[in-house]
Amino acid sequence: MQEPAFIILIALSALAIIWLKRDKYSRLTVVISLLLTLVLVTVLKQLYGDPRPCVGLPGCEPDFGFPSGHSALSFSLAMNLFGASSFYLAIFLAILVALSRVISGAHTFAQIAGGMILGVIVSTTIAIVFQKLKEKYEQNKRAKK
Amino acid sequence: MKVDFFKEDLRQAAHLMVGIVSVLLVQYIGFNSALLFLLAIFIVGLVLSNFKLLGGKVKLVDYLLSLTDRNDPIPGKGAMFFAAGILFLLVFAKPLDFALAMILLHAAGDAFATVIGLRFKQPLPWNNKKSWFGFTSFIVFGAVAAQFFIPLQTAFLYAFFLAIVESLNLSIDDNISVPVFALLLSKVV
Repeated sequence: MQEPAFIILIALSALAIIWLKRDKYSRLTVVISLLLTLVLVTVLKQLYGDPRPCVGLPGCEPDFGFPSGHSALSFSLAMNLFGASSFYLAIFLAILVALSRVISGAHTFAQIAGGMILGVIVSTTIAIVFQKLKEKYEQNKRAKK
Repeated sequence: MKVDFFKEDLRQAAHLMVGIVSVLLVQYIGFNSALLFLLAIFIVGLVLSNFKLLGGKVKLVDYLLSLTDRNDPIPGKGAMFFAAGILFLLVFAKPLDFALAMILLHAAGDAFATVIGLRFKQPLPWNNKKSWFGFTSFIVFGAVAAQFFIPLQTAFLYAFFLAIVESLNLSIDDNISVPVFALLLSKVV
């Protein structure tokens, strides 16, 4: 999948998930986890400097390949649906996105694995931190009353 | 809170075994095959955990959870985080020997720290839920396990700093904070 099409797809899916989430903490979790994943992917690509397997071939993206941004964002988004029945579809699509990157020659298997793990860890960590913040805020609110 | 020692020991034995088996897989079937295998198990685990969270029943999974799970709201949360930590080290930590050393350090250190720490309680000044015995066990057993892949002195240095991280009361699960800190420490060392 080409870069602009993928970004639009991720943005639309994120908007749909944000719309589905009931409280502002869950909505913020989606936004922050996606942004943090994006930032970490960009930084880690520069830090590791791992070339793509297609380097030198026509149509190969010019940046480094580790970790895969496509798989990181797909898995980050899918993990935001953990606990809902739509998670199954989301994780299936995320796997397809990751595999398509290997088949198209844009990434090696280790590069997409890096993206997958990064996406999962960032999303779950942000979700847990926000859940704790929410509990603390509600506790304080009750104590004030 | 009353501790079920049998359940906790079984849980830590599983923790240690998963670490050892992951390292053996990388050694004997190769990095890519082991990574594919572990990722597949991890994703199946995520799907099963989601299925259980939605009220589904799988006899074998229910049985395994009844033996080892800490009754977290998310079924198998500890196992999922531990697997994510192993996969994180495998893909992000370089060279591979360092990644394998950190997997063994974390698996052995954490398992023995819990088993020993629960039995001999002398609280740490910065976290009264953790004990000096557990802290020391993490360093000793973690370093001994890691020295199969890195020099013993380096193993002790990593074990010491990672034991500190493990003993802190962080919002982040220690199965994630320890591997991430190990990676950051490797960049400094």
